[in-house]
Amino acid sequence: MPADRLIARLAESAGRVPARVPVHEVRQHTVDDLHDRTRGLLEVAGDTFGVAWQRADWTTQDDRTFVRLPEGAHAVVWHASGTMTVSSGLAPMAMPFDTIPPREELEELVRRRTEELRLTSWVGTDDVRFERLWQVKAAGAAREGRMSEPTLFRTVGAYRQHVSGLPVWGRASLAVKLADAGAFDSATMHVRQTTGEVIDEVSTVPPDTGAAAVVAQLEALLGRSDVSLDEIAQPQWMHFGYLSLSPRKAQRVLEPVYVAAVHLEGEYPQGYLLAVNAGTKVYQPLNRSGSEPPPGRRRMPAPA
Amino acid sequence: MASFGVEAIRYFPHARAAGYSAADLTYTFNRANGFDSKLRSANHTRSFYWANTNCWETDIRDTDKGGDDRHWVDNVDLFWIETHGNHTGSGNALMLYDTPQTDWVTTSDKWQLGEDWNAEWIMAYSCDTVDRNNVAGLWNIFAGLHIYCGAWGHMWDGVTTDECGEDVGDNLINGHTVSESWIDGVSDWWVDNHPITICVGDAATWNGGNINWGLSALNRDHLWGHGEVSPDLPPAQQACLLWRWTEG
Repeated sequence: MPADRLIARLAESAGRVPARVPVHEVRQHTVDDLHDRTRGLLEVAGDTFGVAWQRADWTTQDDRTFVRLPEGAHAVVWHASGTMTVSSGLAPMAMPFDTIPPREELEELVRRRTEELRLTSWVGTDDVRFERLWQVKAAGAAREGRMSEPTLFRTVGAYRQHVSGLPVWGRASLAVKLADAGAFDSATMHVRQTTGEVIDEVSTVPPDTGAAAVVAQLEALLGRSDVSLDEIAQPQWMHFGYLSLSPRKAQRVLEPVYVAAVHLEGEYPQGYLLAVNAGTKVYQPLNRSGSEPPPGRRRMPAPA
Repeated sequence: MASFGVEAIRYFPHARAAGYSAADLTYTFNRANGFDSKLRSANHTRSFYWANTNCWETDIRDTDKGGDDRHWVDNVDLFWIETHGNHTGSGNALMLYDTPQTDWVTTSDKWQLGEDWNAEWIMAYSCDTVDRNNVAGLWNIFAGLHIYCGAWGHMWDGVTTDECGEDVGDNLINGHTVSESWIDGVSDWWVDNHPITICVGDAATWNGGNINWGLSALNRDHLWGHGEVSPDLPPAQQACLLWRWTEG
């Protein structure tokens, strides 16, 4: 497939893109604020699941605060993003499902428990919608080849934050992990809460321009290869919206982006998730350079 | 405390020049550095950290098969590797290197880990090193090794998986099991990462097919110093292979 077809397919999958999009200010929390939020979450979670978590050991580190709770439970809050996770301490192979229920039943279970936990209320005024169901399973085989049936251990409901009607892409905004009968395993909230203030409204670049920027990144990754991108790239999708960076990264605004998923097929296939700014004015450029290793020595072969 | 080694390859210009279709990666060292720093922050000992062309396939190849694992991968408790991967039709893992020392590719039929009772856990952020329809193709690598953490499909390189190394490291030093540290740490519950963890079990764990999951290394193993670690299981006592994975 020629690169121009790759660009066209990515652009087409982005759908209709608004001509102008608001840039939202992201709420910045002090560590004290985050501790208060974490206490609130623990209170709600404890009430809902009948767990007393009054005793807690708080350890504040550079990038996060770790809260050790009774019976292996714990909570973590990342200072840069406000991302919070709370875990019940349930052993990962404990409480498997007796049978693997149909997907619809699992989705209903996740939705119901998420509502009971009032987790979506922690997002503030922004909208959070169910996105996808995941399952954690296990199986085994004996030496002679006999296989066990898969066992379902956990189901995970992933939710997506929306702001101004646009999705905030990135890690799941809310992920709720449950064991058999809806027993609580853990929940993670990765939400860039907005202040409600729109600091600008920017024009957007059209999808084909965004797709061309994505393809340029891929071409750079192929370097001076004899293998043509035309032959090996399989576009999965390109989405328009906002982007939430990873939990250890601070972020001051939500501004428009394109994110694209592309498989490079071949002997060594690889999936790439690429993001490019989609506004004509950029407030927070995306870091696409990646890190390098620590300085090292040249390695010499061992003497024969 | 644990000893660990890291090998990570971001650039593949030499492999491409040799005819392999392998694009460069972007966030390789975000993940590897993050994993490294988290473990060292908890006073675990980094035995080696090799990058790019300093990563050699002989480091994981068994000494009996012409490799040098005894001094590298089989000489640490935990080994983290990131490179391109795949598997053979026989279910053997494949990993690509950017220098032929002495091959461009390692094949897991030449691995035999833990036979000196050192290597407990391998973590490979590489696509598709496990064939979920033929997991037994990896059985030979468990010569005392407790758990192989890999992937049964893509492992994405992107802006939302750049902190996976730190996440896995945080999980390990917070007392999660090794299996859960991997599966939770590399999952962002958005992109379709395909983590899988594999261990061997004894006859009591297989329990005639009614698997006693509580006895398995997937349930019991923690990083040294952060909880229980199951005993080494020599090949003669291995009755079953057990695996745990996520699917969307």
